[in-house]
Amino acid sequence: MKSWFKIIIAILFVAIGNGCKEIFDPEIDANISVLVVEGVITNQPGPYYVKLSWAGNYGVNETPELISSATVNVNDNNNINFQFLEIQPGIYESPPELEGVVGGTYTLIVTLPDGEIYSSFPQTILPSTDIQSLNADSTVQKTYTETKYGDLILNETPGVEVTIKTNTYPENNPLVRFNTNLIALYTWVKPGPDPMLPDQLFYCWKFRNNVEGINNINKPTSGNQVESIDNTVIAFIPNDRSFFGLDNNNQLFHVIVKVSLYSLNEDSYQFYSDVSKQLSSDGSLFSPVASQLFTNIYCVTNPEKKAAGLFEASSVVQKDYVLWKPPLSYYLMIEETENFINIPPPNCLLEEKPWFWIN
Amino acid sequence: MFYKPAMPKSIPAILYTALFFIFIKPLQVHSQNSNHCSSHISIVRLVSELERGNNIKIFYNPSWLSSDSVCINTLYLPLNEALSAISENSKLDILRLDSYYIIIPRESQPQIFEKEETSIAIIGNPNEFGRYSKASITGKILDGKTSEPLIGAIVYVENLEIGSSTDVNGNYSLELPVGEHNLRLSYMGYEVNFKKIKLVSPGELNLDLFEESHQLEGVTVFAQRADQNVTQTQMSVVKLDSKALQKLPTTLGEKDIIKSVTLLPGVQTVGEFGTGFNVRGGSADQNLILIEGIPLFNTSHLFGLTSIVNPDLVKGVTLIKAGIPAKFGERAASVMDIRLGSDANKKISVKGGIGLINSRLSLDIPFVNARGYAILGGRSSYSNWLLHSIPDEDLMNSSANFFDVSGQVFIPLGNRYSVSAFGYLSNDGFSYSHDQDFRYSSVLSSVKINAIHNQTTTSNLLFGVSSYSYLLSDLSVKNPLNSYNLESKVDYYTTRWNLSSFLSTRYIIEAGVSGNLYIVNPGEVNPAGETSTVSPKQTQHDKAAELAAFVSNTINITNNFSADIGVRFAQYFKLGPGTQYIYSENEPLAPAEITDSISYAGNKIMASYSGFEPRVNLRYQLSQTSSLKVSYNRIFQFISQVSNTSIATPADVWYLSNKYIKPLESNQLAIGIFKNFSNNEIESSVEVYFKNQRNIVETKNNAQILMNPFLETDLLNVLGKSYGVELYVKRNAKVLSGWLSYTYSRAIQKTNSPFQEEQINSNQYFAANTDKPHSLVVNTNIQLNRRWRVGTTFTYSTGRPITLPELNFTHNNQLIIYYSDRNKYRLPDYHRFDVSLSFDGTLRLTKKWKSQWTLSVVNVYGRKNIYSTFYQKTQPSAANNYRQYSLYKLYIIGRPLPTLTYTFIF
Repeated sequence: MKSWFKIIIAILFVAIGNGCKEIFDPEIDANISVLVVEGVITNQPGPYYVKLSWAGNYGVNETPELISSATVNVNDNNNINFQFLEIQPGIYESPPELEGVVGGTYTLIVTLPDGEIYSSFPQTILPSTDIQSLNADSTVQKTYTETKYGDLILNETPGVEVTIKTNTYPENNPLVRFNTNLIALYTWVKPGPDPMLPDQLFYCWKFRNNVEGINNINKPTSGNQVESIDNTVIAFIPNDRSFFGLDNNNQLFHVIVKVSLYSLNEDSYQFYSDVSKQLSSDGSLFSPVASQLFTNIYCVTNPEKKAAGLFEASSVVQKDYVLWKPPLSYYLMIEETENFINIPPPNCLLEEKPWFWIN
Repeated sequence: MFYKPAMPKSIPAILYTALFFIFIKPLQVHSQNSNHCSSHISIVRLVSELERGNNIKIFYNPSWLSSDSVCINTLYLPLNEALSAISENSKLDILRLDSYYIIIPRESQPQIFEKEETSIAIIGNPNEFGRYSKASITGKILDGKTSEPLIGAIVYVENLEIGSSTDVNGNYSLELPVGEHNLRLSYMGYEVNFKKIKLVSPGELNLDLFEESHQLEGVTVFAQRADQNVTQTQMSVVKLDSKALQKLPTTLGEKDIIKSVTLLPGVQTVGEFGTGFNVRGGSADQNLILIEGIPLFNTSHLFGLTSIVNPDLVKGVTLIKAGIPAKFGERAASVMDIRLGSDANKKISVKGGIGLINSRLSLDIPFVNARGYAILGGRSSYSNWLLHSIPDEDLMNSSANFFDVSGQVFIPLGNRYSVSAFGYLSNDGFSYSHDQDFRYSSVLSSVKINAIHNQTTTSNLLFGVSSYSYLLSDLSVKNPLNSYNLESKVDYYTTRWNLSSFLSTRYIIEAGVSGNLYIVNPGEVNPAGETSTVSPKQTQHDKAAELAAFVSNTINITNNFSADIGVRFAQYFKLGPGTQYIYSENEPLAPAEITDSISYAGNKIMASYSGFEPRVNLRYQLSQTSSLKVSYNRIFQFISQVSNTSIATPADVWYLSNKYIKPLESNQLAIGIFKNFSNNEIESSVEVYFKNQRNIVETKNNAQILMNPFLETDLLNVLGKSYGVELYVKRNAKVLSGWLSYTYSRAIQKTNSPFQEEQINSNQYFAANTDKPHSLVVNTNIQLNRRWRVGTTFTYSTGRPITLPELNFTHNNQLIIYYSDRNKYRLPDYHRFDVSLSFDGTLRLTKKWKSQWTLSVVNVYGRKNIYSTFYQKTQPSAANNYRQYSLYKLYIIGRPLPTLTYTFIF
């Protein structure tokens, strides 16, 4: 009996440690060329841009190869052709005559230097959805992080949650995506070079773009049915000024919330939805099988040739809001302000308020 | 019409009870005889008068009756009393067998019982002697212990060299010249029995076979199997009886019935330890897996580690891959019919096994002289320790366990009726890395009433329920605010009535009707835990009814040519309550294209489909050892399992056909040549098949399956083609047995939509998930001596298709992966070598406690066969080529896995 017991114990020890996971590096046939299109046309004044590049090899960290010397045209539903001009390698700009209008249908046609012709499906700019207001509430965002020992730590981040309200009816939700950029307006007090001299006051501004990512689409409640746009979170701004890279020498005055609401057609929504699923996939056992993303680009001259990306035609509503907390007030204030466009890159002005400064 | 003057041991147990020993001892008869009898009459004369006066036939040997007499008043008694008087006043017993009476010497009974070889059964009515030159015999071949019909048993007439095999109800028929014949009965795993008959006119003879007595005498398997594979009309069929099941390869210390069939040609595994199996290119949900006639919606414990069928209770398994008989429907690819039963011979027996992952125990209780029985078995796992021992953080924090309980009661109700009840319950729990808790369970139950209406007609009525449910708890430990419970359930109710009748020796007809009701709860989400902020959600329940009627004819057209021809009519109704969305015409289905919706009240018809399903099996006997078979079948399938995960999981959603997702239609044509060699020691076959399928349910790219009320917008009906050739050579011998099978097959699919959103791979054919062109299995079973056996199994198959990342690109400064066309690539080829060594503890029949040790080693050379692949966000580094996402492969058994199992029975 003792010998049997020893055998069994030995067997059990050998048995353990079988299953495992390893990085899988299969041989890929990367000898294919896939045109990537990144273009957008809106109902806002141009110019509009189309970027052409080749997809790179998976796992190779390299700059995309841009495609120069291509011919880029957009045809509208009136059969008017607009030829884009290459302003940088791979970047093509629309002519001034092209102005996207709601209800207009636009088709991108790209002729590559090798003669292959690619086209988009006709894309229609749908009516825009107006932004009625933004709402800002103080809240505490709770997240959990896991230590290397597997313990969970609750992180509570006080901040401001900005939500949106629109003029749409709940039963008529359009397909939309949001793009939110923040501009922090702050001052910087620089001690004078000499104690006898007064401190220097700088008026500064900094950007924080795409705070909720470019794929902040109105989420499918289930399937592709979208939930109400209203109350969608378009930004969370932590109270901690380091969010903007500020320190104790800085005083944050205002935050300008620049929100763009894109009303998408189905093709564009499908693309952003697929991208969102891919980027949010956590690789768990129940994660969906990886699939090709939707694209509205195809090769006319050779259907075997592949394309990726999106030629987007959307209507856009852009509004700017200023967020601040009045002195001695418990509540946050967020009010629409004039549209600030062409704000220069982050900078500071000594003793001078920039033209977009809000008092 | 049959007569048995003697009762050998091998006579079916059920006929024991058909005999009435008339030992009636009415006191008044006795008193008349002794006190008031004025005259006596010889028994010979009395018998003659009773025959004439009661229009009966009494069989006897006149020499036994010559010297005895009874009171003449006996002539005026009722028949039973008169016969009792004969018994009282002589050393004779009187047996009644149906309408016949047999007089036999009382003291000679035991001798007759023992001399089975010399006993002779008279078939037919002796009064019709000389009227026929040929006559037919029909009857059943039954298990002598359980009275269960034996499927595929052989009746062979030695002097004429012709034979027949029993059908699924154990029925056989033969047409023979009148006169004496020697019948040889055989069935794999049972003792060969010989029966001498005297055929007078058409009649019935039921016969028994008993399981062979362990291995004391050394069983010669080939002698029992004979040429069934050649002579039966059904093709593409695999039958495993209880004896064959014992010789199945061992996986993780246990005979796994469902996994074992994946070693047969045309049947492939989903993955290393995947859920279900694929038959001839069909997905796992296309297999109708029945336990006692009730379908299973999930076939495995622990995501495929072992199947949910307890092997100790199984009496037989039949897998049909083509030419599926008309009485089966519902699923398109195959039928696996698993039958439970008793092994006990008038004594209670207990069977069990102790293994590495789980243990099992079963109880077998015969009653009513072993005609009835009750069986109960259960299994429970203790596999957590194994997971906790694996040096992987996620797996160490995981748990996995299961149990199942199943039982059956078979109660004979007289000679013509019997009733059986079956129940099954299983439960699985699986927790992965404290993050996801997954529980699923199956409940099955049925009641079946069998009836023998007359000597040629039987019927059965079945009521059954099958229920499968799961609960997925996503505990989201990284964010308890998002924790939720997801529940899903499918309920299936069925009623079936089947009738079979032997109209003649050359013609058997079967007919039946059935009704199924499906109720599917695709999903219901509720918050998990107090901190969760998830809102409760529920998708619409689906309900449908499937009605069917069939008729099937088995015709022996000539001695060499036979046919099974049938047709099944299936009618399907998608029922309310529910909402049916109306989508824009000439646009791809999408929620944004919804133009209207129609609400249906309960049981209102939302959509309906119907169709005829022809079934044909033809066999032409080329020679005594070879035959050519052709089959064709069409089957509609109204429920599908939709999945967009990389592996089939029990969490996949069952989906009913509706207005937009049409039922799957599968048409299969198969041709095969079957040839045996060396006196049936070697079986071989070559089968070619072509399958054309319409409306296979596939998922769109990036489909969302769970909790999608518009799931039809994420599904596609696609076309499918499968074809292949299967080569099979099997050796049945005492010392070395086994088989070699090779299959070349393809399974391809294509969409056919003008809309890009509804296209996969631009409407070009692509490999189905089940497409594995090459498959090879070599199985050997070596009987080293009476106690030791060695079994080996080598399996090889082409890796299954997979979609992989080929390129990446940036869009709005985000890195996005460009995936290949669907299923463009393949996983590495799969191959594995398993060995098992079995030792029988005792060979004595008289020994109550019998035991067996089985040592098996799975994956002897430690091949890391891929179970699944998945992507995970990673920290870019040189090790992963600075990828933000890395592709991982998960393998279950990456090195040799030995298991030791102790099995016992007492």
